[in-house]
Amino acid sequence: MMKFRFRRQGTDPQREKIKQELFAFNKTVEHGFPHQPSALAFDPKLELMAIGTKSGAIKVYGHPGVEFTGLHKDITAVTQILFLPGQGRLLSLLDDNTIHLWELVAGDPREVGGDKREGVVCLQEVDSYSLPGRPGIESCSATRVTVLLLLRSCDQLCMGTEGGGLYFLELPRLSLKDNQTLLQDQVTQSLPDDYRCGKSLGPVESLQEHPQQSGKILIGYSRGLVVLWDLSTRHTEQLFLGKQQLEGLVWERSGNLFVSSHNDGGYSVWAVTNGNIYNHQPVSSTIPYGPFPCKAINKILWRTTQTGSPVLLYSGGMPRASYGDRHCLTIQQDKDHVTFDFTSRVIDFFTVHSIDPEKEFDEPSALVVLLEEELVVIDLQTPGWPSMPTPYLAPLHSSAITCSFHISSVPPKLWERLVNAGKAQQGRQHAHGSWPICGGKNLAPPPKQQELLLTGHEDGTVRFWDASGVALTPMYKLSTANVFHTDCDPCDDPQDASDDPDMQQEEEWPPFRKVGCFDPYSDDPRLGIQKISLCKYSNKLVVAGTAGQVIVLGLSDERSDHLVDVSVVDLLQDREGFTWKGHERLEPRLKPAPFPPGFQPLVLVQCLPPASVTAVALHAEWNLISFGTSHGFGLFDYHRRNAVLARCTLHPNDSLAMEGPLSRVKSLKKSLRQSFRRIRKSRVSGKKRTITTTPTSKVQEANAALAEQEDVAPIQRRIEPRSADDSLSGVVRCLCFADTFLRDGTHHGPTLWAGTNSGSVYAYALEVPGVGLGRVCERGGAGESSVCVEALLGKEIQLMHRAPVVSISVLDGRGKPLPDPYEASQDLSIAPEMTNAHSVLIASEEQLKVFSLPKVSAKTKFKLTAHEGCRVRKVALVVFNSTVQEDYSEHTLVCLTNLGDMHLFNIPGLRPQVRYDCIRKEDISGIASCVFTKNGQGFYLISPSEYERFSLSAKVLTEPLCSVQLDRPLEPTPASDGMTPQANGTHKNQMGQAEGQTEEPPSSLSSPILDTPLDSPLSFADLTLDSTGEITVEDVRDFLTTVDEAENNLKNIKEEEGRSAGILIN
Amino acid sequence: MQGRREERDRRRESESREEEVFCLGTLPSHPAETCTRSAICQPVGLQMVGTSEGEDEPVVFATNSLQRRKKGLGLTGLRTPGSGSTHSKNRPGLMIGLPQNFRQISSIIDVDILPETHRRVRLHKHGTHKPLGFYIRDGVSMRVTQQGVEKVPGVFISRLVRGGLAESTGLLGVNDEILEVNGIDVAGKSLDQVTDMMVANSHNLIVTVKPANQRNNVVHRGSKASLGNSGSVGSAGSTGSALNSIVEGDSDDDDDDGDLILESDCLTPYDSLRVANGNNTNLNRDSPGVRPLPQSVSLPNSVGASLSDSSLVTSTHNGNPARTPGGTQENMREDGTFIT
Repeated sequence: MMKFRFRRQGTDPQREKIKQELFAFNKTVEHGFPHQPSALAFDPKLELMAIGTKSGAIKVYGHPGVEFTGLHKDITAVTQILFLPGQGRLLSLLDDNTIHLWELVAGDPREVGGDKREGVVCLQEVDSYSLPGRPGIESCSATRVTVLLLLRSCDQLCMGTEGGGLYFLELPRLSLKDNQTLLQDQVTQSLPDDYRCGKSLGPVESLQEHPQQSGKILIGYSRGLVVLWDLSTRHTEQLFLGKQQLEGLVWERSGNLFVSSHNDGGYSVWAVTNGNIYNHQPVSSTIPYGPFPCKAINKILWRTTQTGSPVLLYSGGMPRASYGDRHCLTIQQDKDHVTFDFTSRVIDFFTVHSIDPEKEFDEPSALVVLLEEELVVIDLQTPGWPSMPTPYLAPLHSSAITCSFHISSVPPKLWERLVNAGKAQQGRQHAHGSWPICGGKNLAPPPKQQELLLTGHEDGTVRFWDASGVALTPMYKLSTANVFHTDCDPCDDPQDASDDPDMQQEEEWPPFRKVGCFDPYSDDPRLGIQKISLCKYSNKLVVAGTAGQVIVLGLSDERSDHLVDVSVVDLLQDREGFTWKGHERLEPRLKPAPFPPGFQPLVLVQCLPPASVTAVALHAEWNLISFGTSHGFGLFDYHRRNAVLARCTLHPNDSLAMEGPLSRVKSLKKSLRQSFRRIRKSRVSGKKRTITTTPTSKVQEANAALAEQEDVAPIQRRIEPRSADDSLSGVVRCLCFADTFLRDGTHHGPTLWAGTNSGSVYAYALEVPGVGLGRVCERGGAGESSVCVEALLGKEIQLMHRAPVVSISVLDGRGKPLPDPYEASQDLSIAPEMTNAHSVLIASEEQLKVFSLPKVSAKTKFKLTAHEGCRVRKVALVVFNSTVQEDYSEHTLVCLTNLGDMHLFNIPGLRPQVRYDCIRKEDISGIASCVFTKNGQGFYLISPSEYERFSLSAKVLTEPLCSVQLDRPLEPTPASDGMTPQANGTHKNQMGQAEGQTEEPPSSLSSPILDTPLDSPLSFADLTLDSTGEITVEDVRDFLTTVDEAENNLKNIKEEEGRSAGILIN
Repeated sequence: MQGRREERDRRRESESREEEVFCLGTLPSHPAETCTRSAICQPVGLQMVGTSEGEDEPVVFATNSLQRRKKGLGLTGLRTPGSGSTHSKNRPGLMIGLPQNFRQISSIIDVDILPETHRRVRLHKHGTHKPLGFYIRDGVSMRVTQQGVEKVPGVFISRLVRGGLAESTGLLGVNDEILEVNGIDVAGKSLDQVTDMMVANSHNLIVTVKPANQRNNVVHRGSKASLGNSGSVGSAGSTGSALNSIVEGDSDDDDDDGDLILESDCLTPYDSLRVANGNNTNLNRDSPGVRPLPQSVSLPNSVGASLSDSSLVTSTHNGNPARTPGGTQENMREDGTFIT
């Protein structure tokens, strides 16, 4: 039989066409802060900023929404970036000593939302250059480029090297100008003998062009010598015989003086008077944080202002002993002196200032500091130098992300209230100067709907992000820590205290000021957020955490001081013989706490034992929440503050679940135990172990098995079916509320579904006062408020293969997912079909299966693991809209596997539609963090600080579409190299070589034609492979050709097959 | 097409040379029987020679298609003496049960369509307490191609657990290369993928291997009837040339819908009592975990009444469903549904 099933069905061309109109895979944009930034540059003419990373990516940012990404062929750190101002070109120096030229080129005209967008540009590498080693100088490090200088004329690039030589490249051709080369010997000749003293001058540390006289450059050598070199006459104009090791140089705007910074933490001001060739002493020399030994000042800027003294900005220079470990940047002007104290290393910084040569002063308006983990912008025009909120590049990982949740089409009312709550939070800490980096023009149409991305963090905060567009912007931050009494904040109002660090100016010297929000240290790991659920219609939010806390919150515009109700639910239900060895529960705050406007806690439900919450579900219409841990699940009526149900899912043999979360401490203990066991075992290796020993505990057995495995060979896998005894089998993996038929085929009502790690599904029929069965017999009456919600166990399903249940969802009579709470009752979506039989879709790690309701019998299934060898990790029901037919859409099951690929199935037929490679299979955190939107997009973490946004839909794409006004004419992209402006930058390297190459346009990805013929038997609508046993080949043939011969449970599949039939649109 | 298939099926029917290994299907319900069972379930091989390795003498029940065809039900052939040297080692006092008490634990299938160098083995996990008991590893396989001998990555059996199902059948050996899992080619799949595929199919695992020891291969017509220890005899009419790498699908699918569904009767329908459906025996069952909380209204009376009953049911349910008493097992094997 199987051989017939395997035979590839001739693909239906019509269906293939529809699939192309529905599905397309694109990685569209990266949100967040680039991982491991290594270089920074700014184009003052175009007002664009570029950031280079250690993985070889270049990201260019302008006005919010304007983004370009480029990726070098090699995964090498970008050490320097230079803009060719106004040209839309930039040069990058890589760690492998190559120089690359990038250009903004015109992309293909894109059609967006019906109208064509012209002038879309994208970033492309056009040329590269590698400096050859000089003959005679063997050491390759001698020609290693240390600094780059772009001459103002933009036709020459000057490269300083490790060997002290200076080389010149002609731009934009990147050809070496041999006759210009300046080797160190030429400089040494002009030195006075007492300075020369036979030593080398060291590498070139800094190159700066004279601000007024082009063609004159200042060359700073490591040993301290600074030379003013005239390029046209090729001779030394002046020599500044510094004795302290040099770190950086900067000209004053007039060109009358320059400043050098040194590795002893000091800086010197030198006058460039035309008389002397030799200058032995600087005008002044200062060590700002002396007199004790200080660290080097790595970079210094000197900016003049019209109003008064110049502004001096420098990084480093801290007293070595007391503050040597701080990451600091100092701004000084007259008496004003602020030492910005960052939480991560300063990579580079620049000021935004006037570049008009007519102007006499710099007039810096903003300071932009690139740190290792975030970008900080300081407003230099506002007194006190406050920091500015960044509209993009937000450090998502300011505290580690623990979970995420996405809400599509947020109602405007909720949006507005969130924006206001966020503004109230920000008001105190930020200046409101305009964002200084605003080059380019965003051509993307305004988002049709508002989208929210919620991220839960290790420190107990939930951050709300505006995910509607290309720039992921922070909106509002909710902290749940103040619901609890923690040791760390004795202060009564921790939120306020932590919120305005700007106000806390310490009196000490140096005058530190903490800036930035990156704070990787969590006060209490138990505060970590594990699960989030938000009802966008009723503004109810459920947040559940690591210590079994489940908090129900409501949105309020007023500040409120209140006591949060606490309810404790024991999930063990007097099971005996279990002792919880994990962490303690968090102590709830006993006194009323002040809660700022925004989401304010209403009830705290504490699960016992306080194991991490593994699943939550919220049904705001019924005022119910459900939550699950590794021990069981519970149902809570938050309106009546009443626990309705607690069910233990523990297997009697499962002792591992009781030992608490798999903490680091424990695993260390475990591994120690294991290694001891191994040692012991090797000692008694002569004696064969008897097989019949009964291990005293599951853990021991597991350890023994593990140790055994390790002993034999490192790469070997045991083949054993999952058994009921597997540890952590009771973990509740998913919960779901649905109004459906559980009791019988004629009466529907509220139900609760729970799935566990061992393939068990529990279905409860709920009686919710006021929610009539079938909405016919509305029970009115006076006593309603006293009536409680009831839950009765209706069905228990044990999946034969015992694989963890990943998701449960109920499909209506048409095979469409049930709408969210309130959507049906408030006519926000098409009412579910309640006349035909419902079905339940249960996705386990191994199989997808649809069962009919109320009699739970299998209708269709797809055995993914058996056929593909991959396991289901994430599942979502998604609506795909057609690019061609405005009103055509299909509900599709999207399934992310442990191999990082996306499988799309139709429902309820569960027939494979397409498959796309998405995430590297080694990227476990990426796969674990993936979250889908309801319209076919998704996010996953590509680094701790970045989300990759992708789209599976051919219609719904959020990608950067932007134009930049350039000085040069925009060259159209060569046809073959047509690169769509999609930015799958940084981590393309993770996607394999082919994709990482710039010549290989990622646009090929967007063509579904190319994507489908993967070597998988599932790629095509090759259907029968997996259908239930009842569907024989003959059956399938029939239903492919005739539409009307419908069997009940295949009705929906056919509906989808029969093109002529009107398709239901949601 | 259809005709050809039928013809082939018919042919296969007649030529089916399934090597089947049986062991006692009735599982002991009390400890006294345990020793007997363990003796019976000891390593059984295709080798007709007793594989006794010392401590206890295994009793080998093996049959081949020839005997089976002759005797109708192959098992009866076991009692006839002289089918091998094995029986001389039988403990005289041991009673051999009735055929229906035997249960297939493994078989070699598709002998006629596979090349001689390959072997397709089916392991029946149902009903055994034994682990499948083998490990797989990555390795390098040699393939003869037009360009010459080529090294390609392959997956191999790395270890057999003593007393496990795989070892006891004797059909799989260390260093056998795994070519297919339930009809799906493993070429290009990672070790983890192959592991997952095997685990997902573990209730009815069909592996096609290239045995490391090619001397025990099933030999086709024209070859000598026995080679080494092979107990199989070549049957007439086998072509052996049709290399079709696809396993019969029906066998793959059949016992897969065996999800256990328990319904509670306390959930009374509104109009009338639910009629028990044919496939699922309804259980008066309320899980012990579902004690109503003090706040919630108590459950209907019927629940309380059924509680004592349900605790018993629960215990069987929580255990491995395979532990269900023997009566249903034949049933299980047939259609794959578990009914408690």
